[in-house]
Amino acid sequence: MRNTFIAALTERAATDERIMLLTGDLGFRVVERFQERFPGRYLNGGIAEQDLIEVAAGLALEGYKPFVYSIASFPTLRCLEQIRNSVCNPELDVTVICIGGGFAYGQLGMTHHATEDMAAMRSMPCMEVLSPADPAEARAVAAYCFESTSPKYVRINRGGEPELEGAERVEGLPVQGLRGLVERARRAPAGVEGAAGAADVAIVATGAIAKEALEAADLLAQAGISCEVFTAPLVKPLDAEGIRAVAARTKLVATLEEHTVIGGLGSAVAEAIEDARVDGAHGLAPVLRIGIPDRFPDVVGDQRYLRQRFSMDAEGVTRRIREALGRA
Amino acid sequence: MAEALDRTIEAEEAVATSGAETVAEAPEESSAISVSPWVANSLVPATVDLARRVREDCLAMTSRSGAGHIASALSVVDILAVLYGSIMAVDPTNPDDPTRDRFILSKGHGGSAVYATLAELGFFDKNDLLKNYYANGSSFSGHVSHDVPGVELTTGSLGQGLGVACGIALAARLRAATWRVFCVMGDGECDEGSVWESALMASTQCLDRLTVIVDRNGMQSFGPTDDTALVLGDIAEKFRAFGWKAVDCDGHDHRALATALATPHGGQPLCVVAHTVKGKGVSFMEGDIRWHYDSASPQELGQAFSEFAGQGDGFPAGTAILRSGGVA
Repeated sequence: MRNTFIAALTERAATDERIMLLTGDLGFRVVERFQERFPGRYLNGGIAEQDLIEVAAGLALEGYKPFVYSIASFPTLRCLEQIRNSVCNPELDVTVICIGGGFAYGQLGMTHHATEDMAAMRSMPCMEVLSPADPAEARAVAAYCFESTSPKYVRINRGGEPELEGAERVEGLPVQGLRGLVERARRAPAGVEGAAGAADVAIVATGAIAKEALEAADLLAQAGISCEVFTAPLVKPLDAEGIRAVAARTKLVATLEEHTVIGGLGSAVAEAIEDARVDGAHGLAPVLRIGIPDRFPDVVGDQRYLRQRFSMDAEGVTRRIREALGRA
Repeated sequence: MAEALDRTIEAEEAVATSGAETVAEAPEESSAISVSPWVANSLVPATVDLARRVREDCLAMTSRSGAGHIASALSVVDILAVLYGSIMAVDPTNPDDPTRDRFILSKGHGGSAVYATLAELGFFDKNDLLKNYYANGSSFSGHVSHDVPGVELTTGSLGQGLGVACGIALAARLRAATWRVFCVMGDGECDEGSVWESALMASTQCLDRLTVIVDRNGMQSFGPTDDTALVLGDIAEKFRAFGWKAVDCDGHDHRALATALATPHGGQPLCVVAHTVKGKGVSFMEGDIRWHYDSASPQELGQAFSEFAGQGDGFPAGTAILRSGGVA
């Protein structure tokens, strides 16, 4: 997805001369294509993320449209206050790109896991939070960033992710259509295929971990549980209306994110449903938040291993949902 | 009255002449940046008078509102008066003029001095400032806010202004613009690591549209900078080591400041370490850490104003406030 995003950015930069790419000395074999075509609008700001964000803010104040590229929690938590004060407060058109969302750099250790980033970015006033699930969403997210003038945070897994089921629906979306939930799949147990009516569970996932949700849907169907799967490429602003509609027609809403369960997609979905209840909505499904529990990994592991360890892989998701539905 | 004014000017010029010798490095080479020739004899009285009025405004504003940081404002007043009174191109009737010189107060707690300077120049109504500084519902926050006309950037968290100034200076270079960027930092602020990230950025990128002035008043929260926290030592030497042109000067001597600010620095950013006195201009505030926190009582305000008597027009700006009973 990182190459997809940078390719889209490079293409766009040919016609939008405001676009600049700033890197915190990261993106080897990724950002060069931009650097070669637009050397004057490429800047390696060194291993100095606080300054990098400030420089981006200064450029945006003067009418440029900077994209800041780094990995893990370096472009968010390291420079959180710079993002808050100098980007979000003046509502500047700065896009922060993080590669390595979740456990993408698993074995490198906890310093290289971006697992609290969405919570921090979501809490920043005016900040939009985008988290593509596959290359199709990465292209759509890039197109969205080219149009939006708000501060933006883009969380990308890494490279080599496959297109997921339903990618063609993403391709057909207008830019603003990305603000809605993307319907990815619908599974029903054998024998009731094609039957209309509510699914037992709706899984809403964000980021590359949506792949596990789609696999879980198959496992759930085998266990006699019908399931809908959606992706949320925009975690903020979240499609609250879409969430409400889904929660009104299912028994359980399960969220899936490679991120702490505190403050990310799961929290956003639960907040949207609770807001709907305050507005008088009845019969909305409860929310099962699947994500990283409130602790750091205690062992080394690659992305697949760590997902499994925290019950966030397809089997773990299936198990958690069956338990929540009382059909374990 | 005229005689008194003449004597004041004479005295100021005497100080200015001696002060000029304190500039560590005299102009020695031609620079890509040309600064308007300094017309000392005609401009010194104007900026000195501006500084006196700004000091009175700051004292009145902080006394009336109970705001702190008066001593931090008083130390930076002469720097601001010289910048706004004789160096920077700004238009109070068109604060967003694209060709303006940009100014960032990175030591945001000196905000009352910037507001007062802008008000004296006519960016907005001075009475509005005197009445509404620090007041509920107004835009005049204690630390400078970009909601106030003429203020480029909201600051207050130290170490964040220089990086934005770098971004602005980079934009100036990319656009081959002729305007410049001035950034005032505190000396204690140089404790912040982000300052030195930005210092490296500025020299690496040869940002010669950028000038930093360090208000070297030698004090921070608990007392003298080099005794109570981190040893800052020779700040100019540090900036030189980071690739800057750097000079020291007397930060209350207007001619010395103007000379230092005119130091040729082609291809390099310029740092002027302006040696100042915290609380400058009010005898009982000078060098007393108490005035980082307290505001003057009505009695103390009267005493402070009496020290300005005979300077300038002899009619302190805050007098009307005192007479109207505005001071609690």
